[in-house]
Amino acid sequence: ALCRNEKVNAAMVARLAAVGRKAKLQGYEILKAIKIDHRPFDIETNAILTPTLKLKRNIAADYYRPDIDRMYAAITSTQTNSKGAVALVFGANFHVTDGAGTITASTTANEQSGQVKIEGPLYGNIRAAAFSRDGLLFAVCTVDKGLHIYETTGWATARRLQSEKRSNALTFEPSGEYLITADKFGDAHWVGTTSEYPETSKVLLGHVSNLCAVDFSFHEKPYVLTCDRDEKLRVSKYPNSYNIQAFGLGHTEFITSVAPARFALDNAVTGSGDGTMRLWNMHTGELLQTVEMSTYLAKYYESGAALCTENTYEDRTAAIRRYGVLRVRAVDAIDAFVAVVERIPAVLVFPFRHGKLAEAQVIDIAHPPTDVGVLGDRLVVSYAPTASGELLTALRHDGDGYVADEELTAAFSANVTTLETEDVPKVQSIFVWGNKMYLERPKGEDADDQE
Amino acid sequence: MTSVSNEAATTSKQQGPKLPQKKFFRQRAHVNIFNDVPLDYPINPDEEDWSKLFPTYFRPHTEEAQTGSDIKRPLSPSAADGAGSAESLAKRGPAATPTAALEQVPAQVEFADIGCGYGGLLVALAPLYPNTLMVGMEIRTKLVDYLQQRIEALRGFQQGLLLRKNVEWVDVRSKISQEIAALDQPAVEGEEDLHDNGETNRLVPGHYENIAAMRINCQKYLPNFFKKGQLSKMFILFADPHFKRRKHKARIISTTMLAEYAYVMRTGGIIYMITDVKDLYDWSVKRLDNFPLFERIPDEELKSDPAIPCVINSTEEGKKVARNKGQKYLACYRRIEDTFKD
Repeated sequence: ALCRNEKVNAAMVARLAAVGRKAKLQGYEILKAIKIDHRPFDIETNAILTPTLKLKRNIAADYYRPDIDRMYAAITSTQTNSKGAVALVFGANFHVTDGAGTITASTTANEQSGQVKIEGPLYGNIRAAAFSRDGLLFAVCTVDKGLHIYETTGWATARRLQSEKRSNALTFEPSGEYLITADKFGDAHWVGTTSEYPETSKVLLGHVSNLCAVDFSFHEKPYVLTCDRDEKLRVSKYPNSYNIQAFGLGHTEFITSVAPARFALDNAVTGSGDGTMRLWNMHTGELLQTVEMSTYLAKYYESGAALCTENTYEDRTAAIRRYGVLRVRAVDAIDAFVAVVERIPAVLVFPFRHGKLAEAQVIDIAHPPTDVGVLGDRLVVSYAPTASGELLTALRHDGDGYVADEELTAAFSANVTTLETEDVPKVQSIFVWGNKMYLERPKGEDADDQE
Repeated sequence: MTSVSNEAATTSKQQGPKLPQKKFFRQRAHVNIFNDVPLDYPINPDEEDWSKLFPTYFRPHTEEAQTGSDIKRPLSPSAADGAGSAESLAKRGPAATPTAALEQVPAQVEFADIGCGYGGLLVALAPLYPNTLMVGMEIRTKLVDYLQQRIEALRGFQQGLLLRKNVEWVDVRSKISQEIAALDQPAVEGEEDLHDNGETNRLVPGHYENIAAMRINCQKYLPNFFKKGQLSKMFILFADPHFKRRKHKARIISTTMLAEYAYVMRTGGIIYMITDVKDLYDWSVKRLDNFPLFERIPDEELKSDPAIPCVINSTEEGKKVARNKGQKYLACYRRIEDTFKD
């Protein structure tokens, strides 16, 4: 218990920092946050040491992952449902707010907060989250291959499963009976959402590639849409998903997100690491339109509002001006599509007219985003980690276009905090997993690709 | 590999095309298909410039030729036509190309050999379906190089033969009936040469203009090359068994891959699968039987299919199995309509 004492922790950090300064260490070499654990590294129990007592770094990192990430928490995913709830995912936790920005439930809730306590924090960071179409169910998948399904009224855990492989993306099938998970080996699985269904999942379909996104069309007999790292959008019938309807081929890089829309039943919009958004005919796979994000967003690099970073071993193209589309979503209320792009502090809204994406409205936001959620005709954008600690912003439609929704933004600002951070935290770029293997990806997470 | 050209220089004074020698093109069998190696593949089938592989059939992609598809549609792929067009080709004289009375419909690849290795199947099939475009797909670079050179050489020989008088044509019809009859008998030693190198002394229908080799990872990029329902035959001969359970997903025939194969194949198209590994055969048959879009073709129906003898005997792997007195297990499936009802 002493280990978890804030004062002890702070004192230790201070002492270590002093020693570091005396030894003339660089800024990045001085520890800013530490976790003290009374349990020693072991060969047997936590397998962090090898038989010769060497430290296994990747095992240690995984073991302490939740602690490492607790120190660096930004909202990584913003999901909304038809009942006006907003789920904000950060690390191994998530908050649920209502349409007015007040947290109604959370994994970090305690007695004083008046929020409904959701079972959590989860072991391992949350990779993806989704609401069901009717808003009654919510699911998250974590890095430790856990799948958690909650009932949104009351936030009880409906089901908790261990899947065989870690999932990248989730979606509920329209009836809510099944959850579809997509993993990095290319398989999409069917998981029953109630305990009547078996614990093991069945394979619905497979690509031979890292699956990045999965969703369903709004047709009465819906298609299932899956997108992979090999630039493919696959449209398959459902539930007979062995029957491929079409491939949407045109992107030149991994696809990150796909958005079907009620107002454009036969169309899907995809966003990709190649810096484009594309509009497809779902039945034929025909590419109908390509939008180059650079035409709208180059100005952000030019003005310095968007910054390139240094190339690293994991991210070889960080130093160039690129436009990795993080998310595309349909905004049913105004027949439009919204998109956010990595590093660029802007939101793009494309009205959908005459079967095409029309000229976008580009709205400035304060910081680069991590995700965008649609709440009726309003947009909720989560920020990438910032020094100021701002987490969210909201936009509303004033009849002509989008403007800042000051009220909702202020409510979020007042009510929503994630865990304490000491320093500017980091969120991984989509280009780290999106890049292909021949760029020599680091060992570790993807080592089992080699199987 | 410079050793090949050295060979050519130092051996015979024979001018013209030279068949490449396999020993310079060996490569180990196993490649990790999940590895995203920088392969050349088109964004979609329309982007592919088939003229590089089939110069007789396609114009190169230029400003004028937007789609790059050209000339004539292959005749219906029936071996009976093979002999017929051979005669008409002979009548038309030297440098005849398979054009003439065919309609102006875009040509397209219809047969695909997945994991074609050294190309034995393609070379044997080419004269049987002289107006059908066939492509061999292989992920190993050296083998693709070998096969491309082999096909170039064979085409070169054919062009040379066309310029000479009194050159014999291969009698495709009798060849087929001989081979079908011979299936029940053990392989004869001398027969190997014909299949091994292709014809260098006689004219064959199609002049090997209808076969080509590509470097492609079939399990990832088939839809990039072929449109929905494009292929009428797909060959999977002696695939890598990937015995270990964790390698099973790398097998060429798997439930998830079958969806993609069904996508590129037209209804009525046939998949030919042969292997000498009984486990792999049982495993693959189970998946194919359970896959709703394929139905097993009974063995009796196969007896009249001219492609079968080639499938069984013409590949390097097939010959190896025969030499080692192994058993070959064959199964063929037809692509059918989806019968799913909600």
